[in-house]
Amino acid sequence: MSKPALPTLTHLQFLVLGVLRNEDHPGRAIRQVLAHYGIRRTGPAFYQLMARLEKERLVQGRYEPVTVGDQTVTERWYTITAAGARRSQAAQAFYEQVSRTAARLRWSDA
Amino acid sequence: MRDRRWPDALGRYLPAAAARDMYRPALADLRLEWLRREASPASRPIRAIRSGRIAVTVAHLWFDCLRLAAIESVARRFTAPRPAPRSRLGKDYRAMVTQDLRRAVRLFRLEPAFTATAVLTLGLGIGANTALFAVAEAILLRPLPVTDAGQLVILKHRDRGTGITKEFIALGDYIDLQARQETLDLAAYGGLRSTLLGDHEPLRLEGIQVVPGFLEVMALRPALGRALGAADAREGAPPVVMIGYELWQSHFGGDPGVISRSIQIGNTRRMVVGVAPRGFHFPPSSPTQIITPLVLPPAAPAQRKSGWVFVVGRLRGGQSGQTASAELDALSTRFEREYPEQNQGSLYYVESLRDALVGPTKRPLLMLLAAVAFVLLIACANVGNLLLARSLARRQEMAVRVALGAARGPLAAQMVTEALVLALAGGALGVLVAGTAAPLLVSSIPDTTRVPGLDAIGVNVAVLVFSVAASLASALLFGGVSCLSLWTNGQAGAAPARRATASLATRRTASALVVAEIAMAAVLLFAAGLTLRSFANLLSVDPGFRTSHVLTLQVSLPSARYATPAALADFYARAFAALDALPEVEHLGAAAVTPLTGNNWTVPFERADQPVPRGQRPPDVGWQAASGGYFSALGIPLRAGRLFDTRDAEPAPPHVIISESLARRFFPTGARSAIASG
Repeated sequence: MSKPALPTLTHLQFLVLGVLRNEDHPGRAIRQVLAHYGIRRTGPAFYQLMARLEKERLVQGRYEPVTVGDQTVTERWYTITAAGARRSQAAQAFYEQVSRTAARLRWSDA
Repeated sequence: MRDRRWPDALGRYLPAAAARDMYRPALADLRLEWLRREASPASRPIRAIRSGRIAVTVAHLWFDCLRLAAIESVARRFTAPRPAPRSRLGKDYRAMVTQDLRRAVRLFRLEPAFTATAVLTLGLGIGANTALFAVAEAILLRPLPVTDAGQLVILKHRDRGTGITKEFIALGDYIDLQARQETLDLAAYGGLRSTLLGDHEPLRLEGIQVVPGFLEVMALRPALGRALGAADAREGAPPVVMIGYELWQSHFGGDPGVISRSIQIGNTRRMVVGVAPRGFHFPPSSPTQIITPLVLPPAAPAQRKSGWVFVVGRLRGGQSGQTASAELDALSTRFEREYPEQNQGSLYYVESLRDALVGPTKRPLLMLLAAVAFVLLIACANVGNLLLARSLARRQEMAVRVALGAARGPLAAQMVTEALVLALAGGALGVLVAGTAAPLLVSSIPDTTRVPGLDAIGVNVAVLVFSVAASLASALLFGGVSCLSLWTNGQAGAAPARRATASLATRRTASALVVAEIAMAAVLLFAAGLTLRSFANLLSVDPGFRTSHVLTLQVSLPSARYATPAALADFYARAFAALDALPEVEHLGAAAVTPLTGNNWTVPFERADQPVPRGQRPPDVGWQAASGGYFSALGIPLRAGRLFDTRDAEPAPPHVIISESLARRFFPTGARSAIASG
């Protein structure tokens, strides 16, 4: 088993990719998940984060129409890409390894 | 948030990336949230409060985007790795060009009417230029299908007395020139028409008779077999022939066994000794299916004009056309002294093969190219004016970009890129126009003035390169004009939206373009008017004969079957009787040459009662052999005397009919005289 490499994702990016791992979400819903973990970002700051992920081709964004009453507006949705899924899995493997190692350690050994 | 326009419009004042990545998706979220809130009924004051909150939130959103964009820009400047300056420059440049191109295409898609007008204008201008260039390239620039064509010259003769220029050279002069001059390798040739007879249908052939060494002068080697040698051109030598490559392929199936085969050409059986190289045609506009030996006397005959030949020459190493002509000029003077009765006024000189072939075509072609260049300039001025007008509409956009920090250089690059996209689209349309127009141009050229290369006219690499160059030049022209608006309008960039009219400088530029356009159009109009006037004058010139309802027929009789004058006379008498019996035929005549088809045969002319002093050469006059019916058929009026009739048949003394102008020149008193001719 190869040794997991240090993740190339920030914690915030890891969290966003984790949210998107199983299904597509609109940006608004991802923000709510982040807020649930205590990470509060303004709309522009959040979408700047998402734009960087898009630039790195880790996620793919699109606008989808949403109808409210008699009006139709658009909403930004995101899908994780294959590269994003790989990076997310690699980061997860690293954290799990760290977690297992930490569980085996007896602090008295230190 | 029923009114969606103003928050969207606000986004245009952000940097493009910030508007796209942050403002637009965040605004979409806000809009969705507010719509869901508005779904619940609210009183008027509540709605007013909501609108106020919305305005404040959108403003906050806008400033937040601007703040983040500024931070990112600063952070990028300090944290971005610095690549090697050269590669960064290239990358930035490529990225800028790509972005400008995308933007230009997007803008033109939004303005289809403007784009169509500009592209059509440029397409017609570039198309006219490209079509004419295709013709000029084929005639003036394409290499002739012979080796080192630049060293080949055609020997020509000019009569100093009449100014008449001829390509056929007196036999005696050729033999002496060949022996005495040192700057050229000369080779004589003559035209040949015959028929290939045999197992198949008779095949009409065109070719040349050449002296030994002709192929060496042309720097050609046979594709098969051998060239004609000195032994083939001796009196009594076995008849031989070289066949053209195309005839070898089409009629003999490319069979190498054709060498040494005996074939019937006209009345003579000739042995095939060689096949000319592929693509050999001489003169280049003729098919040259056969080449036979031309037998010449070893020394110049006493009657130097007892025969005529065409002569091609190759300049010897280090010699130029001028030195060759100078040497020929000196020899001409010597011939005048040695043979004054026959050579007085005769001047020999050389002309390059290309000039000899396309000489008369070159000048009108270049003039036409200049005319269509004016058309392209007018098209550029038109498109430049359109872009100037369009720049007024885009002034606000440009001013905002300048206010946000955009330098004028990149903005100018954007405008030139837009011009380039328009010009290239126009160029592509132009190539299509040229592809259709060039063959039409060629088809309008009469067969009698055909020059080599016309059969292979089309859109090739050279024509495409020309079209791209014309497009680029056009783009620089009208793109440069539209860039002027950046400097003239940009000075008012602080308050662009408040001004609805063009600045003084823009108006002046537009006016200058209109003036230039009118000036060029006037030049073209005058040139077209003069051409039309010349054409009208040409049509009104009375050639001295009537062409309406006149049909011509060329007859060539095999010399073996009609070997004697009596046999020829008998044939023509029967043919005339048969044709005359046709009810549609009113008049019937015969002549050696059809008028205005290039005949410039001349003959020395002198009055028997006023002979030219001994040692002087009589002046040359044009001549033609014809029957009496020739005058009636062409409606040539008879001023005095009679036409030819049966009384002039041999053995009657020879008679001649002279033109009115000749009568005025040589017989001012109307005196009758006999005519002696050499």
